[in-house]
Amino acid sequence: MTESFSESEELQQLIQTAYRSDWLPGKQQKEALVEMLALEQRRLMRVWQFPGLALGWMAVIVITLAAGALLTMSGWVVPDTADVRFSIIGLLALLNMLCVPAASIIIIRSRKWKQN
Amino acid sequence: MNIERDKEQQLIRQILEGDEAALRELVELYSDPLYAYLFHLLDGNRQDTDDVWQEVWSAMLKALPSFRGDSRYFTWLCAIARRKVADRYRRPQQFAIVEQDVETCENLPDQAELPEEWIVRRETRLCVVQALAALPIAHRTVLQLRYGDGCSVEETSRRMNVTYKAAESLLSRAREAFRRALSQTKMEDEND
Repeated sequence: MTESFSESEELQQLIQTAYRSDWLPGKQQKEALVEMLALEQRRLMRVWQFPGLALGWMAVIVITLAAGALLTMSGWVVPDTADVRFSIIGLLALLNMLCVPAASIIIIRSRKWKQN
Repeated sequence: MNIERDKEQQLIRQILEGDEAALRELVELYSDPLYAYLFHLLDGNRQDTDDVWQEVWSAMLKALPSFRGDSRYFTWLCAIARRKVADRYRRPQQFAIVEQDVETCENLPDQAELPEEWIVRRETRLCVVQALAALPIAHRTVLQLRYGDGCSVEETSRRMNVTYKAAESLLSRAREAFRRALSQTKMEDEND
């Protein structure tokens, strides 16, 4: 394998001034970094999964709302008496009231975490 | 042959799915070049390099879902590194005088050197690091041992645990790959 002297000299100069083993991290340093990143990855996994979770919540809300609307339209529920059926609809409405802010908070926080 | 983008993309996908082995592999691939890159950006200050190196990796992991693969992964990592270094210089407490050993002082401007010359010298070093980062680890290691550390071919082969002939052959292929990577890096640098 031949290598011209000038080429070798040039390469040596280029690499020696840019990439030497004493300018690189040690093995222990790399191990510590990997450990730190693995922990961070586990924490971030939860953040990365949040949008999916928030979408799931939103789907629950939409289904609940649609079910409520269908029940009301069917005439099974009469919203002017102390009917048990009306209480069920009331509970569903309450659930919706709790779900909407919860889903909003989750979406906003997950976005913030992603930005950070 | 350079590190393939497909391989990078695959590793990134695996990391986003929670694969720790993929994360380890990515760190193994780029931790050394990133450290060298930061070392030159921070003018050879090892303490700062250690700190920013960790900060960059951590920031990279957080920003990973936003990596679209338009550029090479290491180019993207270098962009994060530059931002982190700029942030560090913005903080007033970072201007404290630090003791540097003789080796790291090589990175500081020579008094006889014009500032423009020093900038060009530093940019060349950064280009060399970026070009080396594009090479497979075996190519990078052989070049580092032979030219960076000044080992003989025999010593290089011993350290890499290969035969003399294999080391020579690897060195020849690594030189060729490095030349191609360097010209490509310079071209991308000029386009930016």
